[in-house]
Amino acid sequence: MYNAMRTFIARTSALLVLLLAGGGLFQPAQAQLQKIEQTIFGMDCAPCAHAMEQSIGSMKGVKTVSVTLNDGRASIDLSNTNEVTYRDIRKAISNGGFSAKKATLEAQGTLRQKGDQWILETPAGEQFVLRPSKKASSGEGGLQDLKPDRQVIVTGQIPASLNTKDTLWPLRIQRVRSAT
Amino acid sequence: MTYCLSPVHLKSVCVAAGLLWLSFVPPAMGQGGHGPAFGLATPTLPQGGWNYNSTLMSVGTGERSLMTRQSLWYGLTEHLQLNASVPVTLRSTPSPPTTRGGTMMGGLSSLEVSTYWRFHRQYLGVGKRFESTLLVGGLYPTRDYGRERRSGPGVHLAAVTGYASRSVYAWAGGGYQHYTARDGDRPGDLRYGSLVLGWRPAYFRRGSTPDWRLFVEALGESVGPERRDGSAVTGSGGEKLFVGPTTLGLYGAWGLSAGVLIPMYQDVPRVQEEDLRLMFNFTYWF
Repeated sequence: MYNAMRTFIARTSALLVLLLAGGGLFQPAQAQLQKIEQTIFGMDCAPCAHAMEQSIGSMKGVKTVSVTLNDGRASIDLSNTNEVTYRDIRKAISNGGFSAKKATLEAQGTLRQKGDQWILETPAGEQFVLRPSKKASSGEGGLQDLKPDRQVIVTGQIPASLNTKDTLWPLRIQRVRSAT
Repeated sequence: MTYCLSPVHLKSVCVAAGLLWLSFVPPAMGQGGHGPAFGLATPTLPQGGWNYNSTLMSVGTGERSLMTRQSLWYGLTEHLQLNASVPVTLRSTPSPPTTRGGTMMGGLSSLEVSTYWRFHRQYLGVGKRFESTLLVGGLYPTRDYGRERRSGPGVHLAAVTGYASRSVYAWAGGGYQHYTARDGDRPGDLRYGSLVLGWRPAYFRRGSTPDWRLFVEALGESVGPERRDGSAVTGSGGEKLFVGPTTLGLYGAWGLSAGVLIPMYQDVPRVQEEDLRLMFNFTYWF
């Protein structure tokens, strides 16, 4: 009787584990971009901000977007599952007739090492080259603790001027934490 | 040929239809962007964006001409816009002045299709732009420009450069309008220059308040001699200089602008003299 109960509990547990693991397989893709604070140059009027909110807000996966004119900033929150790329955001700003400058963003992805470069690769294939923060010498924001193939969430800053034709976005690390 | 409606009735029907249109479709932005009512500016519209304007304008002295113009703007790209506008004359005078309702609004009583190319832009900071736009338009007269005198199609060319920011605006530009002759008749060529200075008071720069701004606009016009039966009409044409205040209020996707131009100098035939130009404009961005 005792053995039968142990077997039953073990099999039920195994089944539960399998079900949970299987369920995980069918979960939607993880968020890649999670938050973006984007500085925009050239936006002077309320309809400009309205159009920008409409344009970014209409992207599938964007949860909320708020544009403040006096700061020239778009604050974008993305849903847990989204396929929005940073390039999409910059394209929307450029199509609006304005210029995307520096940004602070939070992105989830896998760490890759290519030579001496650390790359954060998002599920959509967008790649960010990680740069150490200016405070790296004090510990946080350095590259020394990074390990390849780890799932991480990186908070960092995109510089104000960059070559938009580059396939890799430079991202100066502010914080790295494990995604698991 | 017989008409079901007399011209007076037709006009009433057009006005009623226009009002009905306005009641259902939110009206849109005058100069397609920043809001001077009469002068040239550098309109902005996102790629794929639409913008609708409904304008009421009046020119003349004493018995004034009165017309509405419905305009639709489309952003082909963020730097290239298309505009089509349709005039409806509500009241005309025997010799309306040779002008444009607003420099970017179309010739009086002409259908107009225009292209705006923002060929230069510099993003100088948060809310700041320095940019320049070229404007090319085709005009098709819908009625006589004077008593029983109608011209052929026309063209309008203009260029404008300006600065926009959260606090101040400034634009300077100039244009040229020419109609081809029909049976030897056409109005004189119009050359004009405009200067616009704008200011948005600090109170209206807050996100929680409507976005109002004030402008002072100056418009100088030089009209060449009118031609009748292929010959220049002696004493026709002349010069005018106007200055006046205008305002633009924006809230979300809506805009309302209004303005007055007062003549400072006029050297034209007496019938073409003006005492005031008036404009009201509603705007909506889709």
